[in-house]
Amino acid sequence: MFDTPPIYFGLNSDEALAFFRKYDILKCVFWIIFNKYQKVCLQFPDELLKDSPLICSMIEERVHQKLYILADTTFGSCCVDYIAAKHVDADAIIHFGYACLNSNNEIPTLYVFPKEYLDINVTCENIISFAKNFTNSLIVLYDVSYSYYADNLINRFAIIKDKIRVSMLAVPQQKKDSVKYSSSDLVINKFNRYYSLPFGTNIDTVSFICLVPLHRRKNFENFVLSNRSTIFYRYSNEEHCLEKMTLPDLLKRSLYEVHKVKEAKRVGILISTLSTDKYLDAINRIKTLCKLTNKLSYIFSVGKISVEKLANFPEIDVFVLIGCPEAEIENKRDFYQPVVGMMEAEMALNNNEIWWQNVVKDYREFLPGGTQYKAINIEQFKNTENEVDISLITNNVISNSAIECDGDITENIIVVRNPLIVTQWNKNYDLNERSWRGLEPNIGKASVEKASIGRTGIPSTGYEYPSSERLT
Amino acid sequence: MVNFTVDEIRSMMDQKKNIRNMSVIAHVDHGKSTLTDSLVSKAGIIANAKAGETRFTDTRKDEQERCITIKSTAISMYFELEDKDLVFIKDPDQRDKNVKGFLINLIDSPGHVDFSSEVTAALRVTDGALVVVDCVSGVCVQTETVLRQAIAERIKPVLFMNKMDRALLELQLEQEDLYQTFQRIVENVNVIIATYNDDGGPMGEVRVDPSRGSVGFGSGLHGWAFTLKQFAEMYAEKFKIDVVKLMNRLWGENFFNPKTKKWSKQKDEENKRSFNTYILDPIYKLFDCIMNYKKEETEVLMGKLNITLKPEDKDKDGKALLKVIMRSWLPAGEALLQMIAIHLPSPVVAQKYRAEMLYEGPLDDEAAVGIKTCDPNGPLMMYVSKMVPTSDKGRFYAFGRVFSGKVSTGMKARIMGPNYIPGKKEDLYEKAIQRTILMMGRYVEAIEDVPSGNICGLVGVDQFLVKTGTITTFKDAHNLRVMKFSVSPVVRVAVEPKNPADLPKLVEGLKRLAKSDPMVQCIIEESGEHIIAGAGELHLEICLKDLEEDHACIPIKKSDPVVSYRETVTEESDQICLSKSPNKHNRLFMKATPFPDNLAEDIENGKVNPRDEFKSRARYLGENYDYDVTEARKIWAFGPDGTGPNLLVDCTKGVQYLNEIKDSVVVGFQWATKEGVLAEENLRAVRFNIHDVTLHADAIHRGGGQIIPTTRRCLYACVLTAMPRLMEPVYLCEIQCPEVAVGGIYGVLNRRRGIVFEEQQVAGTPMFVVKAHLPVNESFGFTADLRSNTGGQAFPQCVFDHWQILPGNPLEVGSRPYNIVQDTRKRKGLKEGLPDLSQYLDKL
Repeated sequence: MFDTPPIYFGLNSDEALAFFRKYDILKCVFWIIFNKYQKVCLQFPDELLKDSPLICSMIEERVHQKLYILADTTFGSCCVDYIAAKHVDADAIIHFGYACLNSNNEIPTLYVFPKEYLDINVTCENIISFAKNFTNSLIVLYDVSYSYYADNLINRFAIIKDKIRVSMLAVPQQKKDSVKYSSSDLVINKFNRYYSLPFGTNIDTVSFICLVPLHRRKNFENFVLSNRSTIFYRYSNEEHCLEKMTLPDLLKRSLYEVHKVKEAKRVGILISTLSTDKYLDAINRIKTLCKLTNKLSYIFSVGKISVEKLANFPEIDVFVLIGCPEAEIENKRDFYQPVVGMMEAEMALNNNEIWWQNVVKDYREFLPGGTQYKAINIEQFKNTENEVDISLITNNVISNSAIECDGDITENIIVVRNPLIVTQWNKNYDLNERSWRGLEPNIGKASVEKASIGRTGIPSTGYEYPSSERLT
Repeated sequence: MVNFTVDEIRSMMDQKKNIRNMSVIAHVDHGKSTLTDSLVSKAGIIANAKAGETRFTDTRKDEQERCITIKSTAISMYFELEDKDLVFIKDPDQRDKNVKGFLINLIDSPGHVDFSSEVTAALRVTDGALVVVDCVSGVCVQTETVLRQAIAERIKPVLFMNKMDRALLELQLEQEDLYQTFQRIVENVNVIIATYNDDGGPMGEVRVDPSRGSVGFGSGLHGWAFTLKQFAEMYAEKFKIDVVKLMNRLWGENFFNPKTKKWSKQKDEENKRSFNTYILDPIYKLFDCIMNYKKEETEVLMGKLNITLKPEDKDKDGKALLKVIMRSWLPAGEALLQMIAIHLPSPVVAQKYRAEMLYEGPLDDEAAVGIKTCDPNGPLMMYVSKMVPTSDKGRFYAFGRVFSGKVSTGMKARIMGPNYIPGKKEDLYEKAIQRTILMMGRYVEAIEDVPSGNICGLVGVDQFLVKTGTITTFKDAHNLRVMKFSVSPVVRVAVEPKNPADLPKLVEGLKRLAKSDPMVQCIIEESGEHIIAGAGELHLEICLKDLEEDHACIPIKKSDPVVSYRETVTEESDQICLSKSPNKHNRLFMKATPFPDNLAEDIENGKVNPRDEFKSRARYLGENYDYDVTEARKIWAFGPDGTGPNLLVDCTKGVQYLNEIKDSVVVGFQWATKEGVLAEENLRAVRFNIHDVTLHADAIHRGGGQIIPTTRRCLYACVLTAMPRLMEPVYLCEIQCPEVAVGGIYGVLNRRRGIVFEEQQVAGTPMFVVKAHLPVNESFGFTADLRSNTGGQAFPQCVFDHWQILPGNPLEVGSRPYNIVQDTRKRKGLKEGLPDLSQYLDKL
């Protein structure tokens, strides 16, 4: 069952072998059979979609069951798309391509990472010689695309294991204790990786060596940003040297965003994850903070975030994004409203002043149990009537006192009140600022007419009009 | 030895007809603060002998050290006038019949152009202005600026010719030359007044006239001053002529022949100008005797003039003696007081004609009536014009004027910021006023309450206002109009703390700084840079110093000053620009055209503004700028911020659903005009025409999300195809110097792209005045450069004048504007390089 015929799905045997290796086909097959999964989804990022039918057929052929292909992931393709998987009631997912490892493993998941080439001999030599001149312990972090070198790395660094230790990706198949070199070692789970330290090592003095291809450097910069007191080195596979990773200047822009949140009257909570932990807690936390600071909050779930989707809500002053920390918005400046992270919201609304230390992108760090968690002190908000501040964006006074609302505040935007009025906007979502307020409803004023056939068709192919209307 | 107590002042506050609120305004170094000392010393707050040296109203340490006023300072004083002087006050609203005393609330303002905003804030709360002119330098650029502002605010001026001592001692002017100098200054001042005031207007005639006593002469430094009234009184008995008539004879073309004892209107060989004979002659003689140590003659003259010296002053000679003698003969305080009391309006008089300028609401509501009648029993209407730091760090006194009603300690009032809109709750707070206080130069005195017509400070409202605001008890009150500054914050520096951990302190400090100065802007840019924007280098220097020492109290790193630019276009777009919405179902067709000259200024001055009735606005645009009237009626928006100098005009015909997307297009327009395509600077003087729009038939496919980003892209394409240019701010620069230094000035100006447009000798003096336009960008270090090139003889005053197109194409790599655009983009953290037209322009 596991031997490959010479010509296979249009590939010659060499190509087929390479394909098998590239996508860990056999590993997938074993995993499905071993765990007796019945409905398995294969999730692909856009760039791997072209290979998906082939991969799917190869696996199907071996496990003798139908598989599902998930594409056009709801949010970032680095996260596992449990929502889509639930549509088919899947009991397992195989995730292909780059992964952020932030997903909460709601459904058993197997990751198949991309594989990048690493000149492992030169790399290990260079790192070992660097470590010899280094006093503190070093931990090797590697990108998921190098993870297939993991065993190799562990073996090569075993000779100086007191100084260099290799981390393991925190994926479901990984046993936490397997990173231990001796039973007294301390195991730490950080950066979605496990690593061990000899008993008694001061955690704060540890430095890290990051093995990461250049184009994915950004993802590791998040680690640097959130741990500014720790030193990170990046091993450059291109130039074969170690360089200290420097901080991108994201702090300053954050400051601006903090002030935008402070000034905002209406906050949109933008959900762009459904697979990471505690996202509901995060939403509730922002909602609570908005309520305490007398801001109105609305929850938005728009799937993949795009400029035009958010611009449909010009009345919202600022969006707080709750999503995978590795999903970067590339064209931030094109957005009409600022899209900020949990950190900016916490700083603005909860006075959680962490800004000169770290930039933390992971919203989970702000929830109970996280490193940046700061309890909401209700007392502190009680006197907000008198708390006023000056905006450094408009130089106006900003206050947390309630904005004008004549009637009772209804929680929902759309409410069915009586059979005639279908929609009722919350009064605070101020349509008065718009000059166009929709068509006149004219309820009861229009005369009753028989229904007639109107226009038919879809936008892309054009419409067909009934002959009577065409003439006008 | 203070001549009055707080209780006395409080009781005077109720005599609203006997109150004079006045500011002292002038060009820098014309001697305002020094002159103010004379009044302060008359009130007994500082010793007489110290007057002229103390500069009591310069309360800050750096003001004393630099000998320059930076902040305006208020002081309340109480004086009594003699019966013979009281008869000159004829208007019953100018004086209560039974009260001899006057309460003078004086505000001394800075003269340097960089601090003009302080002058504006001072003018707003006063009704009269003492315009001080150095008779050697004459009327200067800042004299004109502040005078123009005063007239615009309906502030009545009186004129004072200062530094006569210099004219006599240094320049040794002949009597007739001095008269001519005076005459010219009076004329110049009256020309400015006539330009900005209509004699038939509500203020009536405001021109100054020596023969009526509204022009004073003297020396603040030496502490002496007079008006023609003082001399007329001296001679009235001798000539047996009425004082008023004699005052008329003592000025202008009136000549007296001592032999024939005849008056004449023409100059001939025998006769002499009366001003010279009767006024200048005695002064010249006295100067001559004393400065040339003619002891006996001095004695004789003193006898004639009824001057007796105190024993301790008898041993003095030279300048010191001159000072003492002149001061006891013509005490400055006396002359000034008379000018102020007689010629400046009381709040009762002034508020009648100022009410309509001050109040934004309907002119017949309770508040407006209260202001018009200066009614202490009306609803409270108070305007806070600036914030004065207290000794308590981070807290401020709200300084302002009560126009109606009474403000008292502990009362509950509505505090309305400049963005308050009647009926809404934005920028509105209802709070108790913790304390009311009297501002007395460097001291404050607590006071129970303050009635209408007075100036005071409030404790406990500073948190709710940034710089200015309205305090009222009237629920339906509108705002008192915000002040319009004559200067703009065009120079900016970026600051950051030396120690990054101090950042929160810096932010706190910036907020305080924003409060403490009427004009400075402290903002965070989108790039996260902290920017301080001010009127000029000196202004920024002071702001930075305050920030470092008083507000943030941390060491600060600052960038080199940069100017803000504007983006504009110079031609009509070379094509109709099309942009498609992200779903490709909606198309916008637009073009950009440059404004005709002066339209941008008209919009900025409010002559053309978004609140105008659209038909009359269209007519105005049609008449003045050749705009098609039907198009001009369809102006959709001004931008940025809904008021800026760019227009969005609907030139379409019969487009379906157009009104539905109007809001979205306007939002996109506001966005694109605020952040231009070149370097995200504001746009200026660009008109965008919407030529055609095709929209998807389903509302869901033409929502804001489709239209807003598309509008922005389309507008960017319009700008890029219409020969975009950068505009830079330009200073009007006035330089005074002796003739020998003029050459040096030209050299410096040439190097800095300055263009001289006027060069003139100040008549009667060896001084030259050079006027030039100097790009603000080139003005950094200009003062120092000028001084070193002219041996310290030239002193410039620069005030923002206009925006000017920076020559060169910003889209041409290597040109000057290109480099500026790249620098700005870099600073703002934008993608470097040129904006790509194809990103914004779509094909049909």
